[in-house]
Amino acid sequence: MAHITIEYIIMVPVLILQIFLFPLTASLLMNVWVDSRRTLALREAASHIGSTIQQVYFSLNHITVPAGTVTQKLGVPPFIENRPYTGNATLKPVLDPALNSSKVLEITFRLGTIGTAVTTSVVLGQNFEWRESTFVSNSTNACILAEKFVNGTIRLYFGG
Amino acid sequence: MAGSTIDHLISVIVFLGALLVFISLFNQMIQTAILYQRHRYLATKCSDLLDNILLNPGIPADWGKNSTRTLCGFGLQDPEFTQYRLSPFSLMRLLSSSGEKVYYSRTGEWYSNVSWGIGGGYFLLQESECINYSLASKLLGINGTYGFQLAITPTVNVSIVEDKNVASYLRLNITVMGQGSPLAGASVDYLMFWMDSSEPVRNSTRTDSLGFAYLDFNGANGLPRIEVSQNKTAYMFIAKASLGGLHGIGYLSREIVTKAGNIIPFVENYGNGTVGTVLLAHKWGKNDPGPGDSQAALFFNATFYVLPDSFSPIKNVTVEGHVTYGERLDYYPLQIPTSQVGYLVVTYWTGREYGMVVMPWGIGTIGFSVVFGGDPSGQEWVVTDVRQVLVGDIAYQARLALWSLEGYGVVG
Amino acid sequence: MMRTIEVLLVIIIILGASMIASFFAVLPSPREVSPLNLRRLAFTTLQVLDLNYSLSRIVFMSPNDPAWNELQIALSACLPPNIIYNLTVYEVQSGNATELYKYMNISISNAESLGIASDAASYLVASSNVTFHVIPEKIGERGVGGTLYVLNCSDARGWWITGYTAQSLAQDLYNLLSPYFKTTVMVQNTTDFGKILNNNTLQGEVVQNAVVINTFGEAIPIPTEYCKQPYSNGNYANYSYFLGQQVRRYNWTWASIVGYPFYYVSNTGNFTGSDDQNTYGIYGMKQVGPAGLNAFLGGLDNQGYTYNNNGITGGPNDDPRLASVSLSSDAIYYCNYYGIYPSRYQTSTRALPSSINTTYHLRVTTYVFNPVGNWIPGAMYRHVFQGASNITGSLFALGLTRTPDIRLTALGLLCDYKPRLYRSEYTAANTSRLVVLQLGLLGGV
Repeated sequence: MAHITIEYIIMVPVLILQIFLFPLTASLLMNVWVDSRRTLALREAASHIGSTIQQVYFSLNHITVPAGTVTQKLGVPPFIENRPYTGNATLKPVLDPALNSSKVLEITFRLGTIGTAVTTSVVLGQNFEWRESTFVSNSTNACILAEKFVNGTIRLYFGG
Repeated sequence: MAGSTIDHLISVIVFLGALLVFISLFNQMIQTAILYQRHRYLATKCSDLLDNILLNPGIPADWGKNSTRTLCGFGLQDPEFTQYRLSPFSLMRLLSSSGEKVYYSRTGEWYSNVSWGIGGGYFLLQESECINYSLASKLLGINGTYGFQLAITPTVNVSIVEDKNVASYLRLNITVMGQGSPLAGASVDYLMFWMDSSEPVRNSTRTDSLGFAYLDFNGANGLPRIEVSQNKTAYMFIAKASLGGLHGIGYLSREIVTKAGNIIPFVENYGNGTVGTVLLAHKWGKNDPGPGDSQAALFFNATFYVLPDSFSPIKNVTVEGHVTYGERLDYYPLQIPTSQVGYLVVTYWTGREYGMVVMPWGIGTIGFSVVFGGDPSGQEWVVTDVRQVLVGDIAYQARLALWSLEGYGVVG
Repeated sequence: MMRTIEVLLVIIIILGASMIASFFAVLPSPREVSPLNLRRLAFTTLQVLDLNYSLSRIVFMSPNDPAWNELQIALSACLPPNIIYNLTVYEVQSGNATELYKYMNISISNAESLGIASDAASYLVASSNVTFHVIPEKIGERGVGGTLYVLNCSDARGWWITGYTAQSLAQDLYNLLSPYFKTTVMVQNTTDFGKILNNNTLQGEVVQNAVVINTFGEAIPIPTEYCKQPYSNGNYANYSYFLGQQVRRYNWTWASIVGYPFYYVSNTGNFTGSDDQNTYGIYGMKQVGPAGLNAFLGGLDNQGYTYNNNGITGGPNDDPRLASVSLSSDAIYYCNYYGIYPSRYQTSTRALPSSINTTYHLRVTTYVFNPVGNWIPGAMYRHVFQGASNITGSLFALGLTRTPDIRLTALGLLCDYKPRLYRSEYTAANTSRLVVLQLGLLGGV
């Protein structure tokens, strides 16, 4: 019964392989979807925070606004898939000559312990300063703080 | 026995094949869901970006008036106001994507084409004075990731045409239309710049239930008699319609090509907010005069009117001169004040043929539209968002179309 | 064969599962995925319609007014045809009302229902009939004084008030400053001026601690009873000395609005001779010269009277920077607070030297203009005896060249006294309404 032997030699390993392959494949497919969803949610929050920073800066930069402090609450969710996320920002040197004397603030957000990270860039003016600070999404006082000084400098940082 | 083995093998192969097919089907469904999430994010991004553009005046705040200042931040808000009020000057400096750039051989430069003779109105700004799409993308921080097209168009469309059915005098038909319906019962203030009158004729009328009104310039009811047959006179007409806080503006200028050509204004130098240079170019229709064309002189009178808050223009600069191909006077450089909005009215004539063209200083002065950015056609997914804005006191709509430049491939 | 049939069965089952799953995995329509920001569109639409306060005006009109038709036409015209809207107006209630917003039964709509995918924006408008009340604190309300005397003497003439009369200046000062004082008295003639110099009231006001504004520029009115010895000594410098004593005695604040203070005296009833003029053709006046100010300061400081005709003021010849002096930062701040906006730059040709502070025990409490070197173009000088803490008389002097801008006088006095302004609440009853514009999308996918 050679054909039966051949059948078992081919079939059994293939069947055993299927036991592992199918769950792995299903898991891989779902991970892609879950990762994309998390990244998109994180990117949306990052983009909204970047946009808020830009709008706060431009609002304070108006000539009629005197020196003072402004606190801007953020309308972003505290958790993404039950995980908090944190953010840091750094002022990067401007490499593109077309950007002239602008400043670029690069904000990086990380989701919990998963390691998902997104970066967003915000272009601001020469009188912008950034104070080192960390954004924690699930903090009850998470906000953006802005200080405008008498000499026109505007300093922003994460609060809470 | 061999048959059952073959049966097993075939069934396993078919089974594996079917599984692969179904897995890819599910994968396709998941991909679509991910794509839709990206599209939702794109909509949020579009709304945020539009607010960023419209709610900040840019850096420096006076970049719209002063082309010598280097642009460090892109924004279109009028620095003298807050909220959604746009600077008529900043809008002028956007490199238009609604029309093909215009090349003027006499200067060897290309000009941004906001209006190339529509209704006798021109706005052609030298390309080097404009802000281009690439720079704006970089300053907005979306270079390489998103493409956009920003369209600023009047909310109320005031259209003026000559009524060809009336031959013995000039009749102008005015139609005032909103986005969704006519502006019935709107009051229409108008100015008639007529070459036989040193001051513009000013009066008002009202539209009917269809948003329509007409004016007979037949010498009755305080209006002068204007006969335009055989081009024996020229005029420039501006009408401003108002209803319930909504304002729209339209114009019509009688542009013709005389036996000695016509004049088209080109903005050569934007200036530093005090004075700019406009070239009154001698043209033959849309072309430059050539050896076969008449060498007669084309005379002109160019007047710049400043427009204060009221609808009463104030004459500021008046220049008379001529251009002629025969003497190689291809264009006349004219200095105009650039710190306030207004318009330049150029009357030109040769013999007894007259024509008029108009060039606004400040988008919104005579209701021009601006389209700036890339081309959304052919993009996989384009989101749009709209805001009602004001340019001066004219109601405009700002529409931003945004698309992603990154691929949508999903691994897996 | 059976295996193949089994596999076919499996394929049918999985296919069935896939089809059932696809029924539940309903993807949203493109309009739901990438919607228009209807809230922003609604808000910006209301803002545009309120240009020149048109919306604010119409909202307070009766529901039968044709203006509502105009508003509906404008609203239909500015929104795209596929957008349906509903505009509603609410009354903002105040006081003890149980609800903040009361529906006013005014609504404009182009559809019966906006569906579930709609969004709205609200916009608060105020009636144009609202008067924004500001109640100023009265000077002297919480302490002493509170009387403002404005010299409006009909029998005196001024100098360096070219283009104005003392009477017109007096009227302007009255309009500007009377809300800030408990009592404002226009001193109508030199006789009345003589009365208050003798601590007699004119209208029952408090004479002590008053502010006296001399609107006659470089001249000062002189009552008839003082047009004689000893006040006429030193070309009436002794009268200025007497004035200084009275300012100290009654703790007045004497305000000189322009030029060299106490340079002339004027009484058209008494100075009737051909020589009774200021050498520039203004009759009814006698020139005192620099001795007037010196004597006044001496009287203010209770020094013995001496005749000193040495000039002490300075101008651009002494320091070219006096040709353009600027308002101090305090003055600029209070310009906005009190809503008085004189020109920021002036020319000072009669600035006082800072040495008078030491010589006459004066303290500058408010600089109206920034000092230039040792020159003070305009300030409030308070007299405090050495070792004392209380103020005994004050001089407010603006050493500017003609013609006077009395806004500077008003601003300087207010800068020093700093009366508070109590602003009334904005949301008065029946004067605010809330306009809510709800938008929805019609048709499409």
